[in-house]
Amino acid sequence: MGISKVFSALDISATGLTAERIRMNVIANNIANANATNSPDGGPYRREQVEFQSILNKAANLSDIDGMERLGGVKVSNIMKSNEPFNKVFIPGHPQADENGFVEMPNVNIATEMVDLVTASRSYEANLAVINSSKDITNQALSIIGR
Amino acid sequence: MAVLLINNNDGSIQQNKGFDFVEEQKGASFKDTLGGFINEINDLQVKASDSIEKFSGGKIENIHEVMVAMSKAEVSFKFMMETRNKLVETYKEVMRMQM
Repeated sequence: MGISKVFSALDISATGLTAERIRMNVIANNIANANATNSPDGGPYRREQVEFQSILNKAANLSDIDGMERLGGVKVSNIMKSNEPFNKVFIPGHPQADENGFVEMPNVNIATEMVDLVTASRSYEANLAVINSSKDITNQALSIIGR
Repeated sequence: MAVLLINNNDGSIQQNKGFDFVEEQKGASFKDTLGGFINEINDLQVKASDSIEKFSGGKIENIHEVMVAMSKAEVSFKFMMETRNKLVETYKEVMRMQM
């Protein structure tokens, strides 16, 4: 269609924003469950990570560089559970404690999660900057005709 | 466009095939292009208000989707206004022409 092609950069960056938001939600879930010794799967909560995948518009011709129709943005393809070992903490008397008094705590490291959170936040900002910039250049192009 | 010539001898009107060189344009007319264009911009406006409605109804959880829809509507509307201004300006320019 005609005018919608003008906004292709906007749409691509919007997929990035959506992906980063999902990543932030997963990090929030990790931090919220940092001390959860019980999970629906049994055992303590396992740390989750997002996997990003770039979207390729297969319908478009791959050699078509002018149209840029093959650029589809990014999506979260998978949310994986981490296989890192659980932290063992000595808490005798805890309902989940083993015979030696050790409790398996989730394999969530708060410091790592905070770093990931900052990364996700900055990536969100970067996508926003692209959106604002593409909007700006469209507005500036509109000022060619105006006085 | 066919040119009609009046034959002075008998007053009858005949079509002169020799002047039939300006063919009717096959592509979309300016009016159709403009109409389709305005329809498209209207669609974007409708989409924007639709997404605001959905967002307030809790059906969209991403604010940026609403914002992107609104900014598309805004930019395309601005584009339409610029086109309109230029059109009106051109019309006025023609009307000012000395006869």
